[in-house]
Amino acid sequence: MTLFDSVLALLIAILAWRSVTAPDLYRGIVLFITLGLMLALSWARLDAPDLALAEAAIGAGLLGILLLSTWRVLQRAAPRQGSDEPASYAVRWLAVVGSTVFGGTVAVALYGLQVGSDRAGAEALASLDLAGIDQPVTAVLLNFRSYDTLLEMGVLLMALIGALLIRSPLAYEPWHGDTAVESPLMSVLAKVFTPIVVLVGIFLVWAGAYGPGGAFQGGAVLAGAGVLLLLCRRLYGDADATLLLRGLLVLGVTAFIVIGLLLMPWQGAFLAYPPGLVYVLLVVIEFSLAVSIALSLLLLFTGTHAVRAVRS
Amino acid sequence: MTDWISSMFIIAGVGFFLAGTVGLLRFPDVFTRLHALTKADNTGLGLLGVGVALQGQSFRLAVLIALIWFLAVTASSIACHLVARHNLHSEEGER
Amino acid sequence: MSSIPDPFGLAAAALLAVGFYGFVTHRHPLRRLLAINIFGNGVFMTLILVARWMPGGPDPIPHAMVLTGIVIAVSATAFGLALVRRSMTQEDGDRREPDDD
Repeated sequence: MTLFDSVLALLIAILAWRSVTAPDLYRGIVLFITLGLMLALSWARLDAPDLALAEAAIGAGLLGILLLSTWRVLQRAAPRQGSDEPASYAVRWLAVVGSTVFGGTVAVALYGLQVGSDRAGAEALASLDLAGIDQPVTAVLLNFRSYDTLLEMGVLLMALIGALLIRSPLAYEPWHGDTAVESPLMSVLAKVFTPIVVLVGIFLVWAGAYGPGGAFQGGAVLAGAGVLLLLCRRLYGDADATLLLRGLLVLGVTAFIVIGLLLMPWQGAFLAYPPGLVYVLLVVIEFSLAVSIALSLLLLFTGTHAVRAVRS
Repeated sequence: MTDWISSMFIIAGVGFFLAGTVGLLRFPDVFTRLHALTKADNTGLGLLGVGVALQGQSFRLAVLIALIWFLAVTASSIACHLVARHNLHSEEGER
Repeated sequence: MSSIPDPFGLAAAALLAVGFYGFVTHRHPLRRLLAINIFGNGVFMTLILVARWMPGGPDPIPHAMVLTGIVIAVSATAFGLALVRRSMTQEDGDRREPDDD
């Protein structure tokens, strides 16, 4: 199937180029979303189904809708602002030469690379039965390198806190001119699709233990369900946060730290788990992480401190 | 035998995708383009799904493919409806 | 020892080059964020390629690193978008006071 791969690789290169050089910014964003989906396809071809799911859900889906909603906020507030003109001819030609040399160097380095067999992953694969989980990527994320995942959750929370601190008064709210919102089909979308999407999200978190999936993919799909409800006006962003919501936001980090600290006297190290309990503990941590991730991503989209259900 | 039938379905599906793409590129306005896109892609995806399900030869796989097809059809028809509606309203607004 | 016989190597190089080009030539902050993300995707593609062609099957550690990278990239981009909204909606004087908090 190298023909398929070659066509896909070419398509990725063309989409990236068009997305960067599209004269219209909106078109550039739509092409970027398409690029994300093609990348997901190519990563599935490269034996990385976890990453394909993550890219489709987070990279193409949520990032795409964040970009589009920011684009619209800017359109409404300041349509002429921010010089969107490309640089002068001289600068562009210089940049073309520079990036061609750069890309060529990377390609030469990549194709000349000799991949050796002494690798860290071999150790992870060899001690997989100690991890209590059959899926190597989840095992690495939650057990062998759990510091990374803990700090990664911290980065996500920091981004959310930062975004809330500087939030603009023009954060996303469904527009009165939106003909979409009045359509009777939107309630079908909310009623039929949301339960299915939530189910898929929970399944992805659960499946992370033995197959492609995990807290990040599942959490992103759950956040997608929330975005769907926001667009159908079943949820709205609210300025006042409740204690419960704040608690759910830090649930993932808290579960990680509390379990790690509680087991320290017995295990002798932070974030070390006893072999018998490891599966249960990792499932608990994974679901807490998924809840926090879903809520953080949703609040990054609304730009508000809380979301509430619309009472009708 | 199954291989033959499944290939027929897949080729027919690809044909629908091709026609839909040509329609998308060649038709003059939003409504006819949407027509080409949704009709051709829904049928094309269905035919592809039948072909792949025959290749898979497992009942579970066939049910999953049918579910994916159902979701894609519903989502794409709602999206098509919204695009058409938005376009109609903005055209009326201009007059 | 083995090398990487895969067309996606060229795609990775193209993503890196195009991301770099976009970042250098554009002023608009949204376009720059797009370009940075395309560059990041080039890095992810490189890591995935190296993991794929490791002797003895795909290596889970680069995969875990890329998964972490995707989430970090989205977090940073979302924060960047919030900054863009704030700075570009308020440049020409406050047109609306933040009255809801």
